[in-house]
Amino acid sequence: MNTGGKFSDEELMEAIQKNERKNDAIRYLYQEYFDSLSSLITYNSGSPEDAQDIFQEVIVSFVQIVQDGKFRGESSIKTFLYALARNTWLNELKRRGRMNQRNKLYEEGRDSVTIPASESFENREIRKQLLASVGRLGEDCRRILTLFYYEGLSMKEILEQTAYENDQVVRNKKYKCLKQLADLINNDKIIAENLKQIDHEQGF
Amino acid sequence: MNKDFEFTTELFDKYLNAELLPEEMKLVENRLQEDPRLMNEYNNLKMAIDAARLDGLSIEVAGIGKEYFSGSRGNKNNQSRGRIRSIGYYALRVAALLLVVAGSYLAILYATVSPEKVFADNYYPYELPASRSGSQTSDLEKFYISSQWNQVLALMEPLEDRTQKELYLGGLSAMRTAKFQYAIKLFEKLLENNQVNQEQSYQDGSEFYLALTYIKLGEYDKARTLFQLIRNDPRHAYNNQVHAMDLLKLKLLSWKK
Repeated sequence: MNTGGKFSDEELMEAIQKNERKNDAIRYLYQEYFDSLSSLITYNSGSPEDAQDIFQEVIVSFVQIVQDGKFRGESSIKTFLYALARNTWLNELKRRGRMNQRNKLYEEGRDSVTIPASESFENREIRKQLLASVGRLGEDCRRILTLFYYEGLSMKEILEQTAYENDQVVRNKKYKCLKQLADLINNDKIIAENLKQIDHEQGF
Repeated sequence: MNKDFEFTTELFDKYLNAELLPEEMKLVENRLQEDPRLMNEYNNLKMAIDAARLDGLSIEVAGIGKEYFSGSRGNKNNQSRGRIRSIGYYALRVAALLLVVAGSYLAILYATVSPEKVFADNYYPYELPASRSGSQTSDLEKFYISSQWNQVLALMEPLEDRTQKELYLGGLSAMRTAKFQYAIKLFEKLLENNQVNQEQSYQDGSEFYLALTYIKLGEYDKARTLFQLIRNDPRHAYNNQVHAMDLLKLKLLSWKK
């Protein structure tokens, strides 16, 4: 098991998959790959701020892909992150309507790494809208949902971190918040359009 | 709020968390298969849960990113000061010594680095691959093969009529005759054509030799950007040619300027 600041590819994947020392692993990804990946963005008409945002998004995607078991190490993490960053940046340019010829060229270029379907333009749009929907919730709702679904805390543990009377009140509040978020998602036209597009592409 | 819907949210949530009894799980499964409206609600709840998880992960990664960019990594490292001390005084001295050695090396490198040396370390002449039997060799290619650089360049204009291969050989010939400004013009024209036509013809080679030409003309930042691009791309044909030390040397040259 890795106990220092450095990780091999296998140790990185294990830390993320098992959720042990995940933050150290993410910190290591920043230290190791930010500089090289950011120049990919800045060389292709991105600003330094774009590079930071895209890198953050890439790391989030990478963690999810690893945890979902969709990255099995066919390529090195460096190569995979590079392909992921390129894909994410091209999607962002497409979103901004600033896809120039060179970017198109790179899009059709020499990528031998298979990017999971979750990283398609449509799925990225959906993710952005999902985050925007969570952002529209009140701070209390956002906190309860994150503590329960992301941190994996029990109702009792959440109660200790909030000002509710008892864990049943927290539970009810959680259901209300979840319902509120589900309604926001249900009424989001961009999500609906992109889901439709995905269905269409899959032939449904 | 609709009481039935509250129940549904709770039920689905328990279903998703596998908190129901096996027969209840089966019942929900069946209802979902039968009722598209319920299935839609279920899918929305699933997305809501995914959204909460995504939000949590994004906040966590953003926090680490903020820490990284603000340079507070140093402060984090200080938290393990006790452990570092336990490594011992001598370890610190060795580290300090290494720092002095690294600093001295950097100082020597700074004093001795020159564009000529960086160019010479990286440049190697491009040779045309042997043509396949039956394929035609143009006059321009023949001139290139026989090292008649000026003859190659004489055939360059108008650039619009040149193929990507001819522009590439022209750029290389211009380098051979120290016409570096012209070499830049030819390589840039080639890269521009690739952009317009969405092609990759001689792309990697042109990026590499263009970087070397920039070095010759003292445009170290431009050269460094291209070298960084090549180094970052594992599939670039010249990826193994460019090393971290080259990037450092170009940075030093830029400071010396």
